[in-house]
Amino acid sequence: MSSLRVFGRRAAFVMLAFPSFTASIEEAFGHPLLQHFALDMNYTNLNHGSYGATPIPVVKALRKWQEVMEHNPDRWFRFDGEKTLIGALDHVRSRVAEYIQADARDVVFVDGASGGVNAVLRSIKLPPHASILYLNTAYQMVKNTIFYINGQQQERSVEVNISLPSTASQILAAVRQALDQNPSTLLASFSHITSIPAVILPVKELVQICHEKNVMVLIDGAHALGQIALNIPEIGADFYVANGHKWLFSPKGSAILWVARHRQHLIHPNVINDEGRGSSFFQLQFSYTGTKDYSAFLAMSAALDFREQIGGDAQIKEYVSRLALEGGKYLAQTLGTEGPMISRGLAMVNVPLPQAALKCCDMNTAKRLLVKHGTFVPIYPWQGQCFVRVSAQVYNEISDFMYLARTLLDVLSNDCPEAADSASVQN
Amino acid sequence: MDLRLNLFFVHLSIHCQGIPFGKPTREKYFQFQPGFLNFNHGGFGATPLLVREAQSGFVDQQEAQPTAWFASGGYQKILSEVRPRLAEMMNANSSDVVFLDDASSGLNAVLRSLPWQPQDVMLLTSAAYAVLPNTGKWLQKRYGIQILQAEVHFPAESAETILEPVEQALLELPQPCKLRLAVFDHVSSYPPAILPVARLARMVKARCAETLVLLDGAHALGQVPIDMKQLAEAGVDAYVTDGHKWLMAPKGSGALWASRSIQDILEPAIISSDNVPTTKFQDRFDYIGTRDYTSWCAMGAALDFREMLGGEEKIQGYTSQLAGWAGRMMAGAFGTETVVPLTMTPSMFAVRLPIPSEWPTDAQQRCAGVIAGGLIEKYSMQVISFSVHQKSGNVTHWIRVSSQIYLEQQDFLALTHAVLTLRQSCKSRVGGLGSVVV
Repeated sequence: MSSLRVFGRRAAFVMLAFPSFTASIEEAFGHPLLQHFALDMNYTNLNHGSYGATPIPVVKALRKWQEVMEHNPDRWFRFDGEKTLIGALDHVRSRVAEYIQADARDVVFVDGASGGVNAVLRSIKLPPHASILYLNTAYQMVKNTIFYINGQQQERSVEVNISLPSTASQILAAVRQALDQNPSTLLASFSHITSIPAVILPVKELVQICHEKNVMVLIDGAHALGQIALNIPEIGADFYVANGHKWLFSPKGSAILWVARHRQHLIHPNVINDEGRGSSFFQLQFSYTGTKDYSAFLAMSAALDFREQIGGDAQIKEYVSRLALEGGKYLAQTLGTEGPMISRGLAMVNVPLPQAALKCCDMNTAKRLLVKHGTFVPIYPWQGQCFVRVSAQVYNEISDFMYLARTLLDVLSNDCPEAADSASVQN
Repeated sequence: MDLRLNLFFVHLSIHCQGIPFGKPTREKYFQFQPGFLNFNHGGFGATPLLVREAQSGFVDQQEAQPTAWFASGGYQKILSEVRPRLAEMMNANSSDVVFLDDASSGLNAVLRSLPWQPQDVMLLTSAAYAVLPNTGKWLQKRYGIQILQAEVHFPAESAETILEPVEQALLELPQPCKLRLAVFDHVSSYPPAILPVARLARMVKARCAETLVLLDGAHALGQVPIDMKQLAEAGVDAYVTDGHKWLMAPKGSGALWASRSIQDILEPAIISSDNVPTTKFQDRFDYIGTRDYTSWCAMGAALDFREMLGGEEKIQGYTSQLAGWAGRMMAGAFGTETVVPLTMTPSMFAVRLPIPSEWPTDAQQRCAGVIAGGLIEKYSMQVISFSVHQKSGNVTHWIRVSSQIYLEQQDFLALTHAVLTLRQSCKSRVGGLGSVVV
């Protein structure tokens, strides 16, 4: 496979996608960037963290790959080299591996964090009495999968309670204690960035204390890729899963699974097929898991291009994290609450609602926000308070947070009038 | 924009023009590279442009309102419209049908959901697609099960050729029966044949009442009629099928039918955030995380496309008649035979290559390679070549050929001519003067 030709094709996609970007790279963040997304005009997306939003040029790349698949399906699926799935996957894998500072041999594609976590947890055959440890803040999918694996032996599911906010040492102490109390633990799973509330956990240190006890570690980095600086090998975990469709801007159905070399023999895909190709059995197994549409994986390349085109990772992260902080502060102030809860560098902010909002602290309220005002944020109870989790993206501005404030108060005034009242009293 | 309404008007206008099957259909609806003749539809399918455009429309909906699409019944609403139509096509109850990425996902879901005990037995035939023995090997390692493989020999003269080895295998099973699962192809891949699945299911249940019967119908949906009611009565407990093959839905689509009695134990390949012990069968399978569900959604557009072309009878009538004619014609031209009789031939057939059987084994092998390779390199024609190890010990070489609505008689004549021409460049001996480097 000629790398020059592959590069040429990628450059062609970039040119097609950005006809007006021939000279200038400078682009204002905020609402001007909405033109590069296909979001409905009537939808103010403050929930990028849940479902992402795929830039138009990335969707174009997705469609282009889907079309290539139709030209000569046999060549696409069964061969390697130019104009083949394997060839194209190799190229994208190298780029993505570089982005996370990993060796491409240790990276495979999966269709989402759910797929990656399931592949790891359901592959490993633990001895009969081994426990799996996780935090109360684990994403529900991780918990459900652990529960499923442990079946009738739920004593092997060890949930460790942490409160948030917490210091790193508090979290580490809780986990250390749990490991001491559960010496049969052989596997632990931690979020890199928790979901609700959204907070960065001290994963490197968590890996260290687990490894001291010979406990393997799976990191659920669903929110990490594209939101925070990521050097996966340095974290030292045994397994790391990261979504592309959230903060990287790649299409739904694109994610990566990184597995430490010496653990690769333990892992197989959710669909055992074994008809792929690769430099190792690990690569072979994941390279082809049936006749599916792998275009989303391939479009991760276009997502990386897009990030470069709009200013690059550093600028993106600077903008979104600053907006999340400012927006969160504004929201808290308007709602008359203390806070917000936010990890430095994160593009998601957790803002408490007035105490009275606990009565309507649920999905129904959030859905009413969507139906009535065309915006949505997760609304959830946490440690006796009701929070909203707001995502800041390159297409958001502070006015979006102002809009959220107004519309939240409106919905609360219908569903939880005391909550709305207390907010306006503060103001 | 109501995509279905738009598609309907497009359908109407094209239907009125009456695009014939064969080359006009190929040029109008498909996106093969120019000059390429795909005789391997059975391999990876092909998605009509109209269906891909419908899928694009769903991607647009998803991107316009991501939260509504995933959290507020967006894609699920589309699935709830498509499911009854799929179920009807399979003569099944809608409540017993869930969506899959493909048959492999469904096979994995069923195989890995069962409560295997050490020494349990899984019965396969030798014609089973690779995913089955490969997943079986994993089950062996994981649970200590045994795989029992019934050797079915081809060419087969009748359904009995398939039934006998399976019956034999069942008879040899010790009682009490530890056969937990039997898996049969509805339409096998290599070689392609319609298997007598209802009779096979009855045979299994007669021998071991508790054994579950799973059918791999990867090639069935859109190629042969599927009557789940009849199959369930015969003892079939689960059925998987691909959408991207003969239904011509996008890659990443398929369906699983499961009898009510086993639905509770079946889990999809991915346990999601919404999957708890009380979650219902369809909910467990319908949501498996934030991912691209547009292929599933576009199965509706694939059904629309088929209706527009005249429905299953018209399509399957055309493809199977063309396959029947082509198989006979090619076997005649080659002086060989098709791998199964017409009654067992769906819309794909296998015909033995015109390579003299008296040639040395390696020369025959090389010739098969020359033909298959030459077909794609020189003629831009895609078939699948495979070999069959006969009972006698001989190895014979075949090509599997799929017919489709984008092919016509002319194409098969050209294929025949190409094979015969390439065959001329094969040599009976390798090495020395006059040898051909292959």
